[in-house]
Amino acid sequence: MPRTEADEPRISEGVAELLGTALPDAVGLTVSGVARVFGGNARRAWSATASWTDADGGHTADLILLVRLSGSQVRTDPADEIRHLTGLAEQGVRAPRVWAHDGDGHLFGMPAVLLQRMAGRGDAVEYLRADPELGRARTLDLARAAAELHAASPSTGPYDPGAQLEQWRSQFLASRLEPHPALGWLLDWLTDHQPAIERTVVVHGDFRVGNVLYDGPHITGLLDWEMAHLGDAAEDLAWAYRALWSPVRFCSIEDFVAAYADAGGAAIPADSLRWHRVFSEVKFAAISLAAARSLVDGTSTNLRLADRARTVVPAVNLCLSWIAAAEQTARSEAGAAC
Amino acid sequence: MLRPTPGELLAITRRELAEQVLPSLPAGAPARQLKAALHVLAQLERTWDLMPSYLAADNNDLRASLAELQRLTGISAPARRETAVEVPGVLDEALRTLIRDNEALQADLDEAQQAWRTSGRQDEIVARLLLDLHVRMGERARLAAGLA
Repeated sequence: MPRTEADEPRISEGVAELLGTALPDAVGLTVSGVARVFGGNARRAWSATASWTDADGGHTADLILLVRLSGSQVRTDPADEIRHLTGLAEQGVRAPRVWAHDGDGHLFGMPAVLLQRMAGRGDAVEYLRADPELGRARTLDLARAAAELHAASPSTGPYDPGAQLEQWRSQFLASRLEPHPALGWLLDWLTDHQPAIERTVVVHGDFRVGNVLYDGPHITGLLDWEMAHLGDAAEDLAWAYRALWSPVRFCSIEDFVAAYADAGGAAIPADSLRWHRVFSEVKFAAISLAAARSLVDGTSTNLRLADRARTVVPAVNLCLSWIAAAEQTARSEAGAAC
Repeated sequence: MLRPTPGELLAITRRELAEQVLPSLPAGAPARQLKAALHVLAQLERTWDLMPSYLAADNNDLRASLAELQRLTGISAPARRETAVEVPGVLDEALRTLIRDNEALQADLDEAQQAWRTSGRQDEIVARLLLDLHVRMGERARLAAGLA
């Protein structure tokens, strides 16, 4: 079972034990200031500070412990998150350093990861309500942060977009509470219209304003790497502009993609961006159905998940409108060519 | 007994919880749960009686579209399913029937479009029929869900 506020002394002990595995030469390792912080719908989180001494002298590190919740709608393998995240901070990506992880959940009851606690504010509502000039500067810096991430050396291993689609199809089929033929149709459309991949990169997988830290116009950290994987860079850019959390008020997606390219990111063709926007909505729908099922099945008690099945409707409708518009354009162009 | 209607009861319950209970809760998990519950009550308030007409229209459209799909493609509708499936939370037999029929028709559409795709045949009219049907179903679902 996940631990609660009453377990903080044991959280402190667990953090010390976990960090100790990464610091075999540390002497006098202590953990203090353990406090519950918001960890999202899928994980519980605690902040803490560790101090220790080794041959180089005294050290202090601000930490964040993330423990997966049972019934999480995110069904990724925690080991993948660690594999992709490890080493990114060292390459200049605005990602937290990975200190240690408890893959089998023996310390906290569920898989957990101990990360560097980064500086900055994290408040999506505040971000999206910012002064337009500040919001635009921050959003363009978010595009630069994406370019830095995608420029980092990818982890080893192949990327098979078809396998990724099948994984989301499987999650959809396992989670749905009714047939949802439109989602099945959209998954088929995605399979039949896959764009060519220019370069495989490490994709954050949940790249959006709700998962960043900021300080004024600067993005100081990218958070929540549970869905990180190898993939196409366009996936992160499209996900950042999902309607629910889109920063379009500050900056169009076209300007965002241009800023990404100016910062060294690859050029994203329009059809690839559209495909990934459809993919984003389908992914969101599959996650929403998993969330709704977890509440119905009783594996989650979070009432915020009660309304998630309804969010599938606008996601599907948006995809259908994009596809219908693209087909209309193609027919018009074909007509003009005749 | 007609009044208060279920919609009125939902509105009253939501109002009193929002005005009397929520302010007395400290920030934290119980307050977050109550806010989520208030959101659900508001959704129900806007939509509690829309389901029968939504389902009747959806079922009619699905039946007509599946028949047209069969005419165009020759793909037969699958044999009718056993309709005695559970419909949790619904007491009215007519509404249970509408829900069962809708689920069965959704499944029929799922299977028919899969069969069409697997056949490998291309036909713009069939493609348009399927896309237009999904657009209409999505629009009806949007209204029934009380979404702007």
